[in-house]
Amino acid sequence: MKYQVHLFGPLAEMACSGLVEVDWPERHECTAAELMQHLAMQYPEMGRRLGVGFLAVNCRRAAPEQQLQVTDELAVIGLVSGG
Amino acid sequence: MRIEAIIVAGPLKPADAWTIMGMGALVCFEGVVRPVEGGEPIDGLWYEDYAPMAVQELERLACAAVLQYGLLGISAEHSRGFVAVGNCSFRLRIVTEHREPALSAMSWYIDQMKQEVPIWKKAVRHSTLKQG
Repeated sequence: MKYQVHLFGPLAEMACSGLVEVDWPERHECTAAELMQHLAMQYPEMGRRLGVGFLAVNCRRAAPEQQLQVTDELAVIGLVSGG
Repeated sequence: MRIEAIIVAGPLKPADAWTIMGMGALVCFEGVVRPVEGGEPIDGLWYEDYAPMAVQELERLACAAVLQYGLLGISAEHSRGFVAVGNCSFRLRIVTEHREPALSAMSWYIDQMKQEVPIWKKAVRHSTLKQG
């Protein structure tokens, strides 16, 4: 399974892209927490920033245990800096 | 009761008049792009947002502020894209019957926004602009 994940700000710069793919090797669909862990392994430089961020699923903050569908719109919301 | 949240391209235009029945206080905060970031001069800031979640979050906080502080009206406006130094990139207007809840709500909203609304800014320097 492949999940597409939107990135913004410093996280997008680290990945050199605003959209990354996460390969999920398991047969079961992954949870929000699992996807964040997988991203941290795929992009170790993001580790600390991912730790303070959260995953948005279809524009809503996801609970760590939320199951993800490959059709979901996923976005990592790291440290924000508006205003 | 009036609740507004909007994100617009570029700097915010001057605010228009705002009148709500029963109002006794109108507090307006405008965030202006500073000429220096991290000790270095800049030309402006580039704002990136995750649409439509950013507007949804601005609205959600506005609704929460109305309930928590008993507001008569709240309007949050934020910029997207480039905003040059000296220009307004964020405006929050709050209308209440009395002064104190308006001032408290103002501080609360800005603190929450800076933690929860998916908007990011990046300093733009002359050298960056030259590189295109």
